[in-house]
Amino acid sequence: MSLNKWINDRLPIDDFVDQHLRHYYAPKNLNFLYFFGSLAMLCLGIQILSGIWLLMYYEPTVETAFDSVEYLMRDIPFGWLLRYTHAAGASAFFVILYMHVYRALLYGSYRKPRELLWLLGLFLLILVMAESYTGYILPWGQMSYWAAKVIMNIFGSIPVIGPPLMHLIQGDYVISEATLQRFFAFHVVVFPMVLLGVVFIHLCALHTVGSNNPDGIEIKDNLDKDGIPVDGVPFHPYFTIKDIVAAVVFLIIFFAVIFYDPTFHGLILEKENFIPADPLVTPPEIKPTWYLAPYYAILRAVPDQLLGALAMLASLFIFAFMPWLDRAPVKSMRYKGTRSRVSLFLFVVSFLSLMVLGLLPATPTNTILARIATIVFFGFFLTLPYITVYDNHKTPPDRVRM
Amino acid sequence: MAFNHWMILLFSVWANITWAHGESLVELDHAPLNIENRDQLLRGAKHFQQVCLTCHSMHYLRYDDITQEAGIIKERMPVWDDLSWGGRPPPDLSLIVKRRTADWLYTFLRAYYIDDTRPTGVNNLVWPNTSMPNPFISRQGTQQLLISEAHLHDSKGKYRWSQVLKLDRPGQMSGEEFDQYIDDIVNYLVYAADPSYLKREAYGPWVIGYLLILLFFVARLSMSYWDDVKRKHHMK
Ligand code: HEC
Ligand code: HEM
Repeated sequence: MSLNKWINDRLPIDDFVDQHLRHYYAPKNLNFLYFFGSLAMLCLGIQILSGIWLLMYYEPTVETAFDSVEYLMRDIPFGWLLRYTHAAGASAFFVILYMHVYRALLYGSYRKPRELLWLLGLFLLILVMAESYTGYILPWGQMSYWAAKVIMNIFGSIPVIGPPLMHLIQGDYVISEATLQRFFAFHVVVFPMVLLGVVFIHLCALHTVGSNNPDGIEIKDNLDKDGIPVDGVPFHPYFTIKDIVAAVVFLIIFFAVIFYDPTFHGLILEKENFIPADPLVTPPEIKPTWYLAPYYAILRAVPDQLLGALAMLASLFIFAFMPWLDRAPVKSMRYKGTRSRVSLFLFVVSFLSLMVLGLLPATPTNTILARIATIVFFGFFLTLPYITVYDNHKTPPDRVRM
Repeated sequence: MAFNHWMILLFSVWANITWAHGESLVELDHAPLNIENRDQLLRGAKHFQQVCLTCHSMHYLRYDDITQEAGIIKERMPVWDDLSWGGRPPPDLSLIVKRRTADWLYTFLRAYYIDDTRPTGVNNLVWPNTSMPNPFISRQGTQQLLISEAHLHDSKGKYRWSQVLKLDRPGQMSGEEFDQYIDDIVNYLVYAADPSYLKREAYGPWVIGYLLILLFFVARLSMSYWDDVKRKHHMK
């Protein structure tokens, strides 16, 4: 008791818990799509924990990297579990992040007053991509090496600053041990640290503006006499318990994959990556991981390499403009008109098609399909200001539905 | 919904490409896998030690008990210079099943035929022009190709190997014995590519069972909290 007081006089732990859990009000109509934020945090936790253990056995040199991973899988008790968890964790992270972003698109969560929350989220997505890209090189398999090379060539193709930039990132004129160790440092220290910091700020921003909800109306517009939102419930215990249920469901699926199909038909760990890297032998086809495949498809769809690289970058950064491109009077897709719905549907189809096309060889038919999908992808953003204004939107209710 | 159809369509296109035959001239047989059977794994490991170990190493299984019991030990593993064997020395086979498939191996090892134009005197339907000699001539015997090479290339993937090869000089083993023998080796190689398989199968049900029980309790708890909120919402 007195210890508790002693601590709280010096460090306001109780106040913090009160303010952010017991007396933090979240809309009571949040649906399953709202689980993905806390699941993303769970994934980050899983990656950091399993990563720390991998780090104890992994040796970042060209000679030893591949072998150290295989020895870990075979000779260290439960080493296979750590490695499969970390590999499947990366893919799970992206499934979850893409659902998280889709939720925001569906309910207009990027709109005022959540613009900054959205931008921080986009930054997190790019960080997680950088994290997985640097991690992918570490086992030093064929695909590690050649995928790294493809991306590095993209950097190198930028006029003027390209070559020195590529040199800086690689630490050498070619992909080599220097590159491996640089990527190792980034993967293990730099990106995780930045990620943790930005996740914290993402949550600070969230708690300042409060969660949006599937109806897209602000619960803070309806306060009771004590200033508490009538349609809100305390985060703890109502959402802590719901998030725990979601976490358990997630873990069941996650472990089912790890125990019964850990490479997931080559989607989590590619076949080619079970061959040690060989700079002299180009693999028959160089494929990105599935979660980066849409951007790769866009890169290949554009006939010019530099313009392709720009289009690829644009396909990520264009999300930053969402809060200002959407001019509908309502936030949620529940009350938006038919055109907005069709437009989002086409966007999702184009994104998934690009994902599949990025994994397939660039045959003439596939290239044409990828071009169409790229146009639809960007078309979604460019037509948004018009579509959202000239649409038959409905009027949302005053209070949330449940 | 139209959306689901799209997904299924896209998935099947993808599956078709990734699971295609590669360079094989014939359709692959389905390898009867039975990794839980330790006796069979040990048999396969012993065959490997007798036949394959002269040329192929098994580097990543240094501490594996089945492998050691069969006598596949580091001291006996061959080391090849990169330039030996015309630049294509026999590779390490620890991870071969991850790159090829069990079906590929199961078919490949049985699909050799006599071809005097090749330096090894044999050729293979699944891996045309491989530099690996047929290690099974005494066991399997020798096979002749029944159709012309040109016809074979035109009808790529249409036949099974057993339809176009004929045993012209039998070996020590009968057809069934030989199939079983190859199946043992393939099973061992599947195991070798990922020995965690047996452990995963053993722990999987416990981990998932535990989580399912946990789910039951946390879901009940969650519902009991939320029933309240729902009741109040509908009273208002
Ligand atoms: C006389 C030496 C020799 C023996 C014995 C031998 N192999 Fe080979 N093996 C080779 C050579 C050489 C290659 C490389 C062939 C090539 O590149 O064309 C090879 C390649 C292979 C490959 C393909 C590897 C790849 O990169 O895809 C497999 C699988 C294989 N061997 C399995 C076996 C098995 C199983 C046995 C035992 C039953 C065996 N080999 C016995 C010489 C041998
Ligand atoms: C490391 C990655 C991330 C973590 C750990 C994370 C975490 C969270 C958490 C815990 C929430 C609250 C729960 C929820 O609404 O689901 C949240 C909300 C939100 N996140 Fe993220 N997030 C991440 C990435 C992103 C990305 C990539 C975006 C978008 C580009 C994004 C945009 C948002 C938005 C807009 C909200 C508010 C949603 C609403 O109230 O409707 N986040 N995030």
